[in-house]
Amino acid sequence: MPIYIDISKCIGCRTCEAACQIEHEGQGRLNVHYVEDLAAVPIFCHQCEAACCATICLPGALKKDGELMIFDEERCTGCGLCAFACPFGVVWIDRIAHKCDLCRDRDGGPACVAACPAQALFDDFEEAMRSARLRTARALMTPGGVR
Amino acid sequence: MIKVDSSLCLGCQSCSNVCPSEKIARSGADGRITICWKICDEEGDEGCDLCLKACPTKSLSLAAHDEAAAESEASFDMAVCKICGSRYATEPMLKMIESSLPAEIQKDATGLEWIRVCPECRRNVEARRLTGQILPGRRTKDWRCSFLFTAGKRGLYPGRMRLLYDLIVFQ
Repeated sequence: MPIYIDISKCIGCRTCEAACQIEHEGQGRLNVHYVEDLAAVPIFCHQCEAACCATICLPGALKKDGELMIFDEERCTGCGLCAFACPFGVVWIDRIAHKCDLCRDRDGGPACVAACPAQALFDDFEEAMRSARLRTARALMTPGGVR
Repeated sequence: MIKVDSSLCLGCQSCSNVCPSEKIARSGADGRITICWKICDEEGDEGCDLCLKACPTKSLSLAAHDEAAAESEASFDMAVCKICGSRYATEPMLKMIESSLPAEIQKDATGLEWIRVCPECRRNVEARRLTGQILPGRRTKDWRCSFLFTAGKRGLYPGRMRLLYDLIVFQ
């Protein structure tokens, strides 16, 4: 279950970045990138199904278990292979690897989703799809349309 | 006394990360990184073999302590990022990644060999890809791009440049 983003809603405030850093004691696992001053998008782990970082991890610290990624801090030696094997560059190395774990230890889902003031991030795909469909239906019903 | 098999060593940071007495030093200069395993006699009584266990390719081995032996050393070329030109990883590490990952994912949809691109640039590429659909719409809406702004009273048309120049130079 990855985190989804509605890019058109993102205002580039970097609250998600701050929330992630607070949750993980200064080691943020996402970065907000700005493109041409016009659009902002937070780049974070895609929770790939065939995860390159798990394939390359030789000590076996990163493992894919069903949908969840298991990270064993004890076994990580900080070699940095996973950071260079990630196609999106969202694994950071500082003694040990830092990678999005969807805030496993936090109640109420990922911190970035809860913190986003523009509701651009969501982790429940079905719920977000439902609200998007509802929005479209409302727009279609309104005479003259909506913005 | 640590012995290193330099054909297996990747030049990663595992051993220098785990060494409790900081006997393994990394130093980089001019696109090359040198790792120096200093004379270590910890393995005798304490039985420290953390670096041996941590090594992902098992390239380290212990040898009998020998006063005359020189320090082990290995140096590696740093790979250059194809986009920004920064040196971000050692060549053997990238070769290792290239050999372990399936060939079909080593190039993305645009044919970019992302393994040869540094993580920072990978994020930038991803951001560009994600915002590709909404950027044209935002460009047309952006007031700085509108004709009235560039040619209007506050724009930067040639005569306006002259006016601003006079204003700055002659106050």
